[in-house]
Amino acid sequence: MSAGGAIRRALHVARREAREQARQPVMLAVIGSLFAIVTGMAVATLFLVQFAHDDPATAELLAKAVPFDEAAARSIAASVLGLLNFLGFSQYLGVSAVLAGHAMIHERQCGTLTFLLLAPIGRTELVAGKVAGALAWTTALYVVLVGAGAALATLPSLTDAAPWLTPRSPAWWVAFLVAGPLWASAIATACVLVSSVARDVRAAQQGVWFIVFFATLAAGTLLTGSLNQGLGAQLVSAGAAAVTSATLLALAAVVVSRDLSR
Amino acid sequence: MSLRAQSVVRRFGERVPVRGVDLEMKPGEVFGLIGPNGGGKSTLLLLLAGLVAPTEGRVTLDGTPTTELARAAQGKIGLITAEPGLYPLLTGRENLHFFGGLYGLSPGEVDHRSQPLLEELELGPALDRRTSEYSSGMRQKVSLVRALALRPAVLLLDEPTANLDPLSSHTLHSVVRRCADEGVAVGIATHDLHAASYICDRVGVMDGVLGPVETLATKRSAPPEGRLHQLLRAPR
Repeated sequence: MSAGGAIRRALHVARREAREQARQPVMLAVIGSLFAIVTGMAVATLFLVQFAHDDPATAELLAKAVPFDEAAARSIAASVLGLLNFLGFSQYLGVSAVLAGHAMIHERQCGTLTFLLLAPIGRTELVAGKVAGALAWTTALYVVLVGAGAALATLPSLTDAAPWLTPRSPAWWVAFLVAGPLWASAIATACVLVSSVARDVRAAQQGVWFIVFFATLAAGTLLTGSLNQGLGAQLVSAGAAAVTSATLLALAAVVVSRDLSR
Repeated sequence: MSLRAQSVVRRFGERVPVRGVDLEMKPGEVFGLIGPNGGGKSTLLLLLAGLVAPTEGRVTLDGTPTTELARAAQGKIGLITAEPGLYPLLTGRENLHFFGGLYGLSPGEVDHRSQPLLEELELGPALDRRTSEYSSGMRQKVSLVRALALRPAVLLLDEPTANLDPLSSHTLHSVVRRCADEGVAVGIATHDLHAASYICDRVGVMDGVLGPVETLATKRSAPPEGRLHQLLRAPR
């Protein structure tokens, strides 16, 4: 079995998955809105804090209600940046997991699983294709919308307070473009596996939610929390995600049985 | 390629829908499975396709167990079920291209192979519409085209005419007969005894166990043995 052939078959499955998603514009709009709302609110808050900081009258007014000086403004900006990153990552991981978890259920509902299992395609290739297909649109929307939000977040000067949380830092780029998608892939693979072995839709959904809840929180925290530890930490995180993905894919070859009765 | 089941048993907990079946499907032959609902016909077809593993016994395609077939051999078995198994958001043509691609066929090859069948089944104009807009009969026809475009050595059909009008059923049966005449080993589970009488070379009554395999005419002339045989002797 050639690696090229395996990749070609997996991409074939992924393209079909992505094409079906493209035929569901409302679903894609909902995913895009989630990213836009989360990043939009965080960026708007940053600009408001910057405005309050730059405008003496507003700063004075605010200081009467809460402690608001240079240090407080910079601290708030750093917290909002942290929140922006955490929500961006966890939304991305969560949406990917839900889509991937539904991917195998969709096959059962369409009655296509029988014909996929009959076709000359390996179980690992099938799962890899389902995961890649589930990630395709989500990753595109995440890169564009969360990326745009992060770029806008570098404009307020207060965000100099935590440059490691912005695109000014190489570690941020590795987390955003490499570790994030790799963790999304690992969590999505776990969800495909869970939904493959579930006997009905409700059991699959509960299994997927179990993973979504814990894994997205953990991976989101890991990604955001390690940003201040530099490039090396992000590369280690990306490596751990790649190993986890590969392990789960290998497990898929065993767990996803060709036997329809299992 | 010949498909062989030897002493095949399949249990699902307490239920045993297939109890010690022996049969051989040879190239160029249409083998009919008739029998009551719940008699194990569908399970037997899934066992033959390698999609359900036998609890006991074995199913082999040219000597290799169907559950352990190498990739190339795995693609030699075609299946049509009562549920067509198509992606509703894709067009009929996109469905054919996708499944063809899994078998290493380019979209052009799939179009070339399926065109005559599409014309015969009068599906051509509808093929670029999403299958969610199809009638159940049209979906079944696409499923048939998919199975045949992949040129299987063994073709298994489970109630393939369940959603088809009489004319389409007749066309499907003609196509299936022609496939067998071209060397494909065909197995068909059906309740349509009239169709079974003119397309099947041999039939077996499946009711947990597979009865004697013989021509339908022989079965009809056999002494009555219960309600199934009454059904066989019913007027057409």
